Amino acid sequence: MSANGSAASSDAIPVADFRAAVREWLPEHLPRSAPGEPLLQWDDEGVSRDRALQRLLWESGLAGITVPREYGGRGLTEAHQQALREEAAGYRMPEAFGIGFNVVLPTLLAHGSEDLKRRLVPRMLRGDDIWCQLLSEPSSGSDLAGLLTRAERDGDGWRLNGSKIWTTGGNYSQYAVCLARTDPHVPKHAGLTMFVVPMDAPGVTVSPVQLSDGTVDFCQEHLDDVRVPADAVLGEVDDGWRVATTMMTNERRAIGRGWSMAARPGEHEQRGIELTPTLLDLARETGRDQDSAVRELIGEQWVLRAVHAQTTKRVVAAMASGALPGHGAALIKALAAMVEVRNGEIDLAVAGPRAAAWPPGSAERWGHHRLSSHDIGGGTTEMQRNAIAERLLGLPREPATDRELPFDQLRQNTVPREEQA
Amino acid sequence: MEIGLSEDQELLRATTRKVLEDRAPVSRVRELFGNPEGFDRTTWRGGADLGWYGMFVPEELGGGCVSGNPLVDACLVAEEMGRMLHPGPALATNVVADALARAGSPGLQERHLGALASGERIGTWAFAEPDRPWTAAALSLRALPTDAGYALDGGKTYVQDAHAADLLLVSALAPEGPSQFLIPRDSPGIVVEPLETLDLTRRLATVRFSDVQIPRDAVVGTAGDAAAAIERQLQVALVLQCAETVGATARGLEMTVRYAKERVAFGRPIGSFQALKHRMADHRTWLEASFATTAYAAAAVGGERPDAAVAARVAKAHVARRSTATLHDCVQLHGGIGMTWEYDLHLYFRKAISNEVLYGGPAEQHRFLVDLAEAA
Repeated sequence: MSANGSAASSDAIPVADFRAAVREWLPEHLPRSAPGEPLLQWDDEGVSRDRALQRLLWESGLAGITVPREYGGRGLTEAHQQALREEAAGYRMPEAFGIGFNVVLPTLLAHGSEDLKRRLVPRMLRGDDIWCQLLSEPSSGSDLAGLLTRAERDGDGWRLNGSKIWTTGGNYSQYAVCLARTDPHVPKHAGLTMFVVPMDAPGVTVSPVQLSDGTVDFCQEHLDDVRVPADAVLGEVDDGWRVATTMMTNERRAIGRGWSMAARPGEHEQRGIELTPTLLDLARETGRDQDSAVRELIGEQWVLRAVHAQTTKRVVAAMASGALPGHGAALIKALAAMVEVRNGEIDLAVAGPRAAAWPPGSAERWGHHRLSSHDIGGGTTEMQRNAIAERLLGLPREPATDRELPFDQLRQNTVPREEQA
Repeated sequence: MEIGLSEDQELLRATTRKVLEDRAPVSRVRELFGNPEGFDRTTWRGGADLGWYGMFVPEELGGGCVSGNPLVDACLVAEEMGRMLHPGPALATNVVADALARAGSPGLQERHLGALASGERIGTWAFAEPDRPWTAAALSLRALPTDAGYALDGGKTYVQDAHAADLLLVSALAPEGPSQFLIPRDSPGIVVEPLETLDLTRRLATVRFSDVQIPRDAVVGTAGDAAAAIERQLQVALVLQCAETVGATARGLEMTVRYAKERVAFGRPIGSFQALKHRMADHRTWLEASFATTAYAAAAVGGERPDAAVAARVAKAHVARRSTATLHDCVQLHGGIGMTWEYDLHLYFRKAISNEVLYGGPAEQHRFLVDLAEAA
């Protein structure tokens, strides 16, 4: 790899030495993240900045920490990766590559052919390719296996037709992984295949979707006779559900952990629990910091943040050691959701009318935390609850026929007419 | 549910569970409800052989712990005790042993630490006062100076197992400031008045002091200088209490999940209904968080890390609030059987409710965190 040796480049470097080297390297090379700066900035400026940052990490030997060396990575451990995350807290990291590193990379490594891995992984690490995932459809979100996009044999390759949605960064991505139905005559989970699709392939149309909070992080895609070669199959034909499960597990884990490539306050091994002053400062500003009800709310939010950070570390470690199965990721995603909802309520209660209106350009828009405190992306909280109940607690499924009947004999997923895109 | 335990810790946990299951099953615990002492002395002594009360005691005085962090090990035992609703003064004795091991004079240590570790003597901490917060700053019981030492007049309450204790560690306000004294429970002028308790496996009492004479050599540490020691005792007690609550909650949820798998109604196991299973999933999530915060707090307090005070309050605030909510819902998920005296679930629920408020409830912990942040 092209590491220039400036940051932690030796082969089997101990975690503490690696951490120290990273700590020294970061302030000179990475910008600090600005207060109130959004994690994702899907515009030309944000994306080109993130590309440059990823390129810089790569050149400094800080890309693909746990990726095997033959695919361009460092071949180090999860502990090294976590040390980098913790030290990077407060710095601007190339978050546009989040789907790539959090979701696609581990899936490629687990299921990809040797050719796909050697071709695609180093490009991602170098900052060449941003990735997105074409999974959900307008009528298939929680019931992902009920999706309608078709992939039909076309000579040596495949021809894809359908519509995908909730694609983070679809309009700035070079590649996608795409789940499509290759056999409608078998039960729905058994007839799916995962493909690697270049986003500039003829027939791919991308349109941004604006969310209720005004952000435009998501896109919708139409696939019209998109042709991909045979070697674009990720995993095996008709075995796409297994590949998708790997992706969703990694996605849940990353969302539960906070998604960012940098750790949050409180996750840092050596700094302990941090009581961030933001809400207390607000209470002082509004003259309510001596109100005992407000003090209880501020304390509660600190507790929730610490609980979230500590539980995330525990569950990630338990999954790494095998003490918890991969479905344990649902625990931290569900927890993150419940914590966020309550934190949104607390922000609202402490901020009062400041949550409803503010001078133009204010960094803190308190009401937005309540507005966006729902966890739907990456699988709804209800789906996490199913995974926890059925996979961790061993409770039986709801009786249903859709797992046994061939897909083409099922009632197809639909959405109410006025919601159709 | 602890992860990353050493072999020695696994052994301690497994042996503790086996001893409790063999000698103190819940059926036996129920027999002790009407017993004035409330626990079984034979089992108590047996626990000493396993090191249950010696973790905070130095090895040369007959103690020792398996991991190097006594609180982490004591939490393993406390969690098992919670699972089995085990009664008795283990928590209180460990808090006293820790206080004595850290600040007691050589004379006090030699006289008492070995006897505490071996289970021959029982200690408890007389700290709380009626309607006062559970903080060192809220102490109001006065220790008045005398020629020979101090005299106590007043009362303490919610004192665990005071009726069975040989030794009371009393926190009081001397003219010099917050101070602590280790005195025999049968000292003249001490009266123990048992309270009725919601948790049927926990004995609590009010302790009244009428001109109780305390010799100078009963002072633990330096008179006037006990604020930090009291804070440390609170942290240890909070973490041990959390471990016990987590064990009780884990057991209550296990009972509920098993019931939901086996109970058939409307043609299928009730645990297959999403309306019920989603609630159990939420409880499982919060329980995982309870394990996480308790383990974190045990490591932080046991290792005397800078965030120990915060970590203990985070754990208490979270574990207390969620455990009570979980066990309440466990009763609800059971339906009728959950409301009965014969079914054990209410015993776990009683313990969680009691532990929620003893040593300060969630709201008190939340406010304390803001006090801490302002003082920093």
